[in-house]
Order: sequence, then C-alpha cells, then structure tokens
Amino acid sequence: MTRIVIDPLSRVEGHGKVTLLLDEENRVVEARLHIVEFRGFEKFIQGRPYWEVPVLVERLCGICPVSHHLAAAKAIDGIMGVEKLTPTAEKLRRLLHFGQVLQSHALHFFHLASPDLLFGFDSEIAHRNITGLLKDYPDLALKGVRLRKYGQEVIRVIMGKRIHGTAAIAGGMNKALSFEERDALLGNIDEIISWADASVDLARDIFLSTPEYRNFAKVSSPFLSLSGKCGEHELYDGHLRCRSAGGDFVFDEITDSGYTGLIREEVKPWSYMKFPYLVMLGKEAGWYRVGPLARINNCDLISSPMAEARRREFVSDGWPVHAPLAYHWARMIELLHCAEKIRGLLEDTDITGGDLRVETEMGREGIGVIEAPRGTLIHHYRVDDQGLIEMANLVVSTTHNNRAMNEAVLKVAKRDIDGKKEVTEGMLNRIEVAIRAFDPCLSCATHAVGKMPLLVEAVDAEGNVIWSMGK
Amino acid sequence: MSGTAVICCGNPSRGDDALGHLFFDRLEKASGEFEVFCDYQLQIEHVFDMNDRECVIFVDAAVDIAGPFEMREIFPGRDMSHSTHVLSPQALLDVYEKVMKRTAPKAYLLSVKGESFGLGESLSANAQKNLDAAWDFLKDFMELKSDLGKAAIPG
Repeated sequence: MTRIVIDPLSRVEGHGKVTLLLDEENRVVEARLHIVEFRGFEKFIQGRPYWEVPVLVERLCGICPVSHHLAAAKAIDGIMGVEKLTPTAEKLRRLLHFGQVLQSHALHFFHLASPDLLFGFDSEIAHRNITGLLKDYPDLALKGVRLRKYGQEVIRVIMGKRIHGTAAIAGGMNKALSFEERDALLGNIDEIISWADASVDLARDIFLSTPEYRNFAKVSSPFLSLSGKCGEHELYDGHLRCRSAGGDFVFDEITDSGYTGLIREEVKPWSYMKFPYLVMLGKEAGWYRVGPLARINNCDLISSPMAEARRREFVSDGWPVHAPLAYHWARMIELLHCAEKIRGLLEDTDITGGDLRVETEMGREGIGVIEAPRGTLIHHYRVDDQGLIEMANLVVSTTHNNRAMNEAVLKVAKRDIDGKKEVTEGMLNRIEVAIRAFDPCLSCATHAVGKMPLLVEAVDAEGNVIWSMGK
Repeated sequence: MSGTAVICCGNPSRGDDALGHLFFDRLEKASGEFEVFCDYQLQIEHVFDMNDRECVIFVDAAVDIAGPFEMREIFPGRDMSHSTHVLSPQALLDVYEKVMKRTAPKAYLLSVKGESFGLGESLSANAQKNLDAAWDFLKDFMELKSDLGKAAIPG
C-alpha cells in the first residue's frame, strides 16, 4: 500500500496534511486530513481569572480573534449571570462581529478561493493566486483587498487597536463608539455594500456557469448553526438548529447550554483533531457541517433585504444545497448581509450610546455560542469560588467540519486519483480546493519565517518517501 | 504618509513567536521618524500601511538563520506564501506593486532567531538574548532616539 501525503495544505490557515492511502493498484482506500488544533489551549487557561479569558482567547488566532473574543465574552456573561446586555453594548458587539465576518469572508473568497475558481483547478500554479488575480482581474482583486480592509477598520475602531484590543467585558463593552468614529465608518459603506452585492453575482455566476462545480466533492450531511427567534439567519446569538440532509429538523430551539447533550467528540488515533457527531444520529451517521452553507440552508430568512433576495435565489433550484463549492456563494451572501447590517447598526442612535454594562452576581459556569466565519463556535467555562477557570471546553468551527472535509477529500480522490499511475499538481490541488471550500482555520500553528515549508510527499506503508514535491 | 514603517508580526501566545510583538512594545516607547504596526501575520491589507513610505522594515521570529538575528534587504517576489493566510514580506511587496501600481518602497526583513514555539510558553532564554542583540542593532540602524534606558525596556 502507498500513502500520498500533502503537507502542509496551502491556502488554509496554519499547518495541515492530507494522507491518501492507496492499495497496490493505486486505488484510494481512505483519505485522512490531519490538522493541528486547540487542544493545549483548554489546559493553558486553567487557573486564570475568568475576566482575562476574552483577551487570552483572542491571542489564539490571527484570523478570527474577534469570534473567540466574543464567544468567550458571552460565556463569561453567563458566569456573571447576565441574561441581557444594554442595547448599546449588544449592538456594538454585533457591529464588531459583522466587521469580523466581513473581513474574513472577503479574504477567503478573493484571496484564497477565487484564483482556483476563475483560473481553473489545473491552471499554472504560479498564476493561480492573489498576484495572478491582481494581474488579470485588478479591479476585482482591489475590491477584495478593500472589503477586507473595511472589516478590519470596523474591528480597529471598536477594539481600539488592530490586535490585542479590548472591547467585550463581562456584562457589556468597555468603550463607546464616538460620533466621529461612526461617521468615518459610514463614509464609504454604500460603496462596500455595492461591492459586496457584486461579489454575490460573481460567486453565483462562477458556481452556476461550471457544471462540474455542482457535483465537485459533493457530500450530503445534516447542517448545524445558530438561528434567531423567528428562524432568521443569526451570527451573534440565538438557538441551536440542525436540519437533516433532506431539510427536516433534527432539532431546533436548543439553548446554548443544551449543546452538551447534543454533541459528542470522538477521538481517532491518527489525528489530533476531534470528530464531533450528533448524539441522536450516532457516531457513524451523526457527522454534520457548519459555516456559511449550513447557515444559509438552515435559516428561514435573512433580516437584511438584499441578502434575503440572494438567499431566495440560492435555494430556488433545490434545497438544501449540498455542493461544497456552494460554500463560496453562501459566503458572499453573508458578506452582503454583514455589510447591510453594519450600515443599519451605524445608523441606529443606540450605537453611540454610553450605557455599556450591566452588573450582577458571579456564578460558576458559562457557555457562549457564536457563529464564527467558519461556523458554530462554542466556549464553555467553569470557575471556582475565586473566579479562576477550572474547566474550559472549546468546540471550534473547523472541528465540526472535520468528518465532512475527510468525506469531501475521499470523494475527490476516488474520482481524480483512483487508479492513476502519476499524480499531478492539478490533481492534488483538487483535493485542496475541496478542503478550502470549508475555509478551515488551523490557527494555532506558529508563523515564524521558515516554519511553513510546503511539501508534497508520496510515502509507502513502510514510511519510505517515494517522491516529494516542494511548494 | 512618509518615513519608515516597521511592521512586526507573530503570535504572542506561542513562545518565541512573540519576538515581533516584543519588538513592537519597545518601538512604541521609542521616538523616531517611523510608525510601527503589529499583527499576527502579514496580509493583503498591509499594503495600505506601506503606502508612500520611504522604507519598510518587517520584524519576525525565524528558525532558519544562523546567528541571533539577520537583517537583509528584500525585494518583491512571488513564493508559495501567497497561497496561505499569511503572506511573506516579499509577496506582500509584490502585492503592493500590483495594488498601488508603483514601485515598492525600500524594504528590509529583520529576522530574530527563535527556537521554541509551544502554546503558552514564555520567551526562551536564547530568544531573549537574540531580541536584545537585534534591538541594539535596529536602534543604530534606524538612529532611534530611545527615551528609555535598556534596563527600563520591558522584555
């Protein structure tokens, strides 16, 4: 048996590795995606005071620090017994989160995914990237850069700094938004919405114009996400909702604290990453997907008009949509939703209010669930009498999608690599394209210069490297 | 915008990957003709921080250098970093030229040797020495007028 190893994955955050197990006839028998994950972090914060947690966790990740910051803040709200924030505090948190999702989605689509989709999976590797995009589609690429920059600016204004800022604290926020800051963000929001709207066109047209994309790496699964009180699309707060592959409810209206009864995490000997599954469907059938595709499939409506029109279009030709490459289209619908909601919040008079915090008595346990750009993110903490963390459990978005990514890789490998005597860069890239659709974040990897060589290896069952390809 | 931009990067929660952040902390307390930025990693939007600069200096931890630190001039170039969530300084300069449609500013990469990058680790003793050595070099290089004595600079 031969193993083909892709290590690490390009265009996903941090390190990752794909091992394809082939038999003597070069038939794919199994696909395994290896990802480094957060395991150490849960231990790392034990013994720290609860109020430090939102700031500590944002240091976990350079891609979605705000999502960790807000999920932790929601959990410590729970520890403090806070059930409802002041209107200004909640709207500031939502504004911050919309900025975060907007910048993350813009980066992923324009920088990481669109080169594959616009140039083709087999196009020249030296051209299939952001610099190729800037050369061939300069206006499009520049809009992507500016959309990302705008989202980052929302974050900077609210958190006071680009990184390591502080915003959410137990029971609220620690800084008001000034009129000058609000006006600065409103300055080009119409342009941002217009670009976001055009981005949906682009993602839709790419997906629909290439028949291969509808079935590429296609897997069917249940979908998990938060949902609002009226079944609306929700990123910041709501109840847990899960639909089956056919669209029926597996469960709905489950509160944050209910997650412990719904999800279990299986450990496999070959991976550091856990494999969550829905308890009621069992280990084998209970894998599911999270993220933009899950959220758009799961919701009954989107509360911003332009994005809602786009959602209706998205589900008009068969629902639920299962194609992994439809993640990109769903992601751009969410990008538009974020831009619309940012405008709405900036025009709301509450956003510049000064009533930022409520105070209550300290309890012992808190759970915060939020929809991070990549999907449902769960932070769960328990503290002792002194308010020091004694238990932490984090279920991160990429972990939810673990099994689904393995299934998608296997699908591609069986179609494109099965039986082939030679493996080309284009074939390997197809595997990466399937994984990239989920936008996995492997953020606990370090980024020091020289720590991220890109290498493709073929290794036999005895561990001998048959060939390797530097990237 | 003008003068020098110093862009420091790394993950402060990962041992010696904090070297860039510790540089940032020192530079924020120093005075000179420069503006300093800090981030986990370089990304496309950093081209706006480089706009119209005379010079850009990137500071990051490194594992692939021989000495305690290394300073070298770098130029726009394509490598595989453009295909990940983190851009190399060279790739960022290349993106700058395409986005801004002008020649990239003169640029240097100051690599400071790190050796241990575990989550939750503090800076290693060797990295601390390397940081001090690189800091002394950069002060001279930029002709910084630090208001703080070395002993008062947190490290």
